[in-house]
Amino acid sequence: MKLEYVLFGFGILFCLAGVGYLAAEYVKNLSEVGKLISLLLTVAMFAFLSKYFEDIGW
Amino acid sequence: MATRHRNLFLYLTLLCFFGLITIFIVDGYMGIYDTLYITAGEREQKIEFETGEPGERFWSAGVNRGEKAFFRYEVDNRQFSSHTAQVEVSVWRMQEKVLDILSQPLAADSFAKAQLEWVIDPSQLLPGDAPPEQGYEYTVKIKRGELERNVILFISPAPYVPKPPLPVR
Repeated sequence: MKLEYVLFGFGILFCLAGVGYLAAEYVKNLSEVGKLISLLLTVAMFAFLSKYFEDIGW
Repeated sequence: MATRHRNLFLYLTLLCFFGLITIFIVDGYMGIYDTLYITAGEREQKIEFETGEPGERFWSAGVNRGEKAFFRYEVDNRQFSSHTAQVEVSVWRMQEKVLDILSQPLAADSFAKAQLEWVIDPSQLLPGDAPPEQGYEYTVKIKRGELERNVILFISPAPYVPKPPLPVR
C-alpha cells in the first residue's frame, strides 16, 4: 500500500515537472486561445486530482 | 461502483494532463519560427519575432557609424511539411526604399532550419552630406512570403573628436 503511494507521488512529481518544463519552454509560443485552454485544463486537472484524493480518503 | 467512480476522476485528471501536453506540442512547439541575429560592435543581438508581445511589429538594433552590421535570418520549420518562401530584404527610410539587400528563395525541410546572411554597411545608406554628429534611423524590412518583419536600425553618430588646439604664435 505504501509503495503505491510512493509511486503515485513519483507520478504526480513527473507530471508536474513535465508540465513545468513545457510551460517554461513553450508558453511564450502559445496563442491566446491556447493559453486560455491550457489554463482551463490545468484548473480542471487539479480539481479532478483533488476529488480523486478526497475519494480515496486523503 | 465506488472504485469505478473514484477512477473516473483519475482518468479525467490524466485526460486533462495529456490535453495540456497536446496543446503545448501542437500550439506551442509546432509551426514556423523565424529569428534574426544581428552582430554589430562585437555584440550579437537575437530577435525572436514570434515571441514578441502581441501587436508588436517593430524591433530595434544599433550600429556604430563606420562599422558594419551582420545579419543572420534563421527560419526554424517545425512542421511535417517542408517550407519554401521568397525572402526579400530592403532598407527603408521615411516610407521610401533606400536599398535592396537581397531577394532569394529560402527552403527549410520539415523539422529543420534554414538561414540567410547579409551585411549592411551604414556608409551605403547615409546621405553624402550627413553630418557626423547626427544619428540616423532606417527600417530593415524582411519580407518572407506574405509575412513582413520590420527592424529599426539606428546608426549612431560618429564619436566626437576634439580638434587639436591651434598653435600659439
